[in-house]
Amino acid sequence: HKESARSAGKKPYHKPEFRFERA
Amino acid sequence: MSDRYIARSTEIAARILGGEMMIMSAVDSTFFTLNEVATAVWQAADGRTPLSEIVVRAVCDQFEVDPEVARADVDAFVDELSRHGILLVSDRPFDNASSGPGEAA
Repeated sequence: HKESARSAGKKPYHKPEFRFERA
Repeated sequence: MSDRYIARSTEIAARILGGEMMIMSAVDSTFFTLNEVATAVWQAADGRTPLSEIVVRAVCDQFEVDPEVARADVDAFVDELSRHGILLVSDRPFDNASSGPGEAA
């Protein structure tokens, strides 16, 4: 026996980031 | 810490592709690509929803993350994007901010 229930159905988290370039 | 409001600049063109938002600044032709979590924040930036609520609804409810970590990360992300001029930040709601999915012509 371990209780996952809260995070069920959630996507893996990645720190909000962006990349940019001078077009 | 008092709450903030964030709104997308109107000086941009944006399209979502493969879950990532691509944004072109009309001011200096800088091209931005946001990852999935950043895209969720961007799409929620309607100028009227407090940032704390955006963190809960767009990030914590959708992604597996501790709320305090999410808040700190989103704060840093918002600060950085606002420095580039494509995200507007205020301590009051914006009057005429755009709602919708965050894409713009």
